[in-house]
Amino acid sequence: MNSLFDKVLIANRGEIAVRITRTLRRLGIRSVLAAVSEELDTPAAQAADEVVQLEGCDAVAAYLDADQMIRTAQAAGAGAIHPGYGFLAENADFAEAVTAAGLTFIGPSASVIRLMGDKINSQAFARQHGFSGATLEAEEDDPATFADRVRKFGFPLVIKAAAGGGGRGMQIVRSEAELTGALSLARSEAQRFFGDGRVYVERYIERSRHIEVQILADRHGNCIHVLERECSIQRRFQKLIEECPAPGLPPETRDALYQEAVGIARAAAYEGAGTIEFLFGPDGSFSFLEMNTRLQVEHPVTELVTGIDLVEQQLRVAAGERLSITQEDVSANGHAIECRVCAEDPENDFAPATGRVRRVRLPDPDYVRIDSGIDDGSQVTTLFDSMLMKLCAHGQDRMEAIDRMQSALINTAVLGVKTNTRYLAGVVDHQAFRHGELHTGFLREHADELRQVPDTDTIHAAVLAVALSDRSFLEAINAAPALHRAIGHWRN
Amino acid sequence: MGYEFRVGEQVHCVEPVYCQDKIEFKVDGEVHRVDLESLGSGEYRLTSGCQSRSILMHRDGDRVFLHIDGFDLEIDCENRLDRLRKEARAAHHGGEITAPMPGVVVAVRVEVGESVSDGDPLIVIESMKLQTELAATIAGVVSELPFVEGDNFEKGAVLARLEVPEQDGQK
Repeated sequence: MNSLFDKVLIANRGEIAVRITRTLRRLGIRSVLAAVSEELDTPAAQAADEVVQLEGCDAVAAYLDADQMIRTAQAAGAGAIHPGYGFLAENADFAEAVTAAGLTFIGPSASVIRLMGDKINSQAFARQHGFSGATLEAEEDDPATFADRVRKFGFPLVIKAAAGGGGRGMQIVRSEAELTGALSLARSEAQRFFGDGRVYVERYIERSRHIEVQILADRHGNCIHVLERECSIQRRFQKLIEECPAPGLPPETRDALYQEAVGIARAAAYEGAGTIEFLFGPDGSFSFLEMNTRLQVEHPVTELVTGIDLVEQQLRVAAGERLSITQEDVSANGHAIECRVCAEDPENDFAPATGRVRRVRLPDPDYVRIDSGIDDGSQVTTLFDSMLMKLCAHGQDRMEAIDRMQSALINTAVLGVKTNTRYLAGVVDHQAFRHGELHTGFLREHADELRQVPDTDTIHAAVLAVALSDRSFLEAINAAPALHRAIGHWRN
Repeated sequence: MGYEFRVGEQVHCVEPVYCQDKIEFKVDGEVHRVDLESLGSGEYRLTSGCQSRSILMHRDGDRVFLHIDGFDLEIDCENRLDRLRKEARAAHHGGEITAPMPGVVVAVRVEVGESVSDGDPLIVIESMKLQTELAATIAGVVSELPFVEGDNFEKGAVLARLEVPEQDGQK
C-alpha cells in the first residue's frame, strides 16, 4: 500500500499529463490517463501506466465531462484525480462531486475554488482582509451608473470578466469613443466563454509587470511561499515566457509580495499548491490581481530554482500530510526561464498552425528541462490548446539561463507544424529582455525587432541542401554524359 | 537548365555550373561551392568553404521540412523539377508510387529487394474509408517501402519505389 495513493487518475492531456506521470512514477503511484480516442497514442498515453478511453464524439467536451471523469476513476480503481490545469482544474462543482464520490481531488476545497473563481468576489475578499486589491468598478453593483462610474478611471482602462481569469475575455479601452461598444462586446464574450456575462473595469496601467507568488499550504495551518515568478512576457494576455525569480525586484518589495500572498492564502484557508498574481506598476507599487487555485503552466521554473517538486507536494497535501518543507527550507538556487513552444505561425500574426509533426529534435536534456506532449508523428489540431511543449533553462544567474535558453531554442526542431521557437529565441536574445526591461506590452513594443526571417545565406544553404539530398536532382545532373568523372563523389 | 524550389512565396532557382573537375551551383545567380554529407537519420552537414552547418531534413513527397540556422523551413520542389525528375526516372527505368491522397497503409504486399512485374500489387491504402490497391507500373526490384501497416501518409508521399537493375553498357 502506498502511503499517499495507490493509483491516481489524470484528467488531462499533453505535456502536463506527461509531467504528472513522472512524479507519480517516482512516488510509486500507478497512473491512469483518461484520454479521448484521438489521444490514445500520445506521449502522455505512453507515459501512463494505464489508459482509459473517454466516450463522446466531442473531444473537448469529454475532458470537461465531470460525471464521466469520476466514473472512469472509480472503474479504474483510482483513489484520487489530478486535474492538471485548464479543463476541470478550477471547476468547484467538479471538486465537490469528486469528494462526494469518495475520491480525493488533488487541489483545494470547492469553496476556495468558488471564491477565487469569481474575480470580483476574490478582489473584495482581499480588500476586506486588508490586502492590496485593485480599485475596480463592477457592473452588477449598479448597472445604471456603470458607464459613468468607469469613466472616472480615465483612459486607458481594462474590462475583465468576473468569471474569467488567466487573461481570457480581457479588453483594453483606450478612448471614450470605444467604451460603450467595448462594454457590450465584453459582456457578450463573457456570456459566451464563461456562461456568465458579469464584467468589471479597472484602470489599465501601461508598462506594468505581472508577478506571481507560488503558495504551498496544508490543512494543518502551515502555509508558505515558494518564491515568485515573472510572467510579463505575454501576447494577448497569454503568458509566453516566465522566470524565477523576477529580475530586479528590491528585497523589501519581494518580501512584501510574499507576505501579502501568504496572507491571502491563509485568510482563504487554502490547501495545496496555488498562485497569487499581482500587477506590479512602473512606480514599484503592486496590487492583487487574482488567485489561481491549481498547478500553473509555468510551475517548472519554480521547481528548477527551489528543487521542490510541486506535484509531489500537491499529492502529499491532498493525502492529508503536513508540509515537510518549512519557509526556511525555500531558497533560490540560480535562475530559471521557461518558454512555451506553441503551434502557431509568427509570420502570419501567430495564427494557429496544424498538421502532422514529421520530426521532433529536442535540445540536450542535461541542460534544459523538457516538458513535451508531442513526438514524431503527432497530429496537431485546433481542438486543443496550441502549446506543444515547454523548454526550461536553469543557470547560475539570469544571463546563463538566457544563454542556455537561447541555444536550446535554436537547436529545437519541430518539422511539419509551424512553431514559435525561432521567435522565442529572438525574444530572449533581445537587448531589452537581457537588461530585464520587462512589462506586459514588451512583445507589442518590440514587435518589429522581434520578427525573425531567414537571411539570403540561410535560404540558399537550405535550397542547396534540399537539392543535393534529392536523388532525382543528382540523377538529373548525372545524366549529363560529359560529367561522369567530375561528379563521381556525389554518387552514394 | 535550372531547378526550382519554393520557400513560402519565393521561388529559388538552383543551377549546376560545370567546371573542369567539379560542379558549383548557382542559387538565384549567386555561385556556391558546397558539399553535403549525410550523417544518418535525417541529419546532414553542409560545408561551404570554412563554414559548416548542421541540418535536419525530412522529405515527404515533394515537400521537404528542414531545420537550419535555428529556423524550421518548408521547401517545395516545384513542377519544373518534377518534370526533370520524371525525365531522369524514365532514363533510369525507375518507378515511384506516390499517394494520390492522404490516408493510412492497410497492407504491404511486397518486401524491399523483391522482384515484381508490371501490374503486381504493392501496397493497399485506405483513404476516406475506401481501400485502394496500388500496383507496380513497371517491372523491377522494390528498393524502398517507407511505410508499414498502420502508418499515416500525406498526399504526394512516396509509398514505394521500384528500380530496374542497370544493364551493362548503360553506365
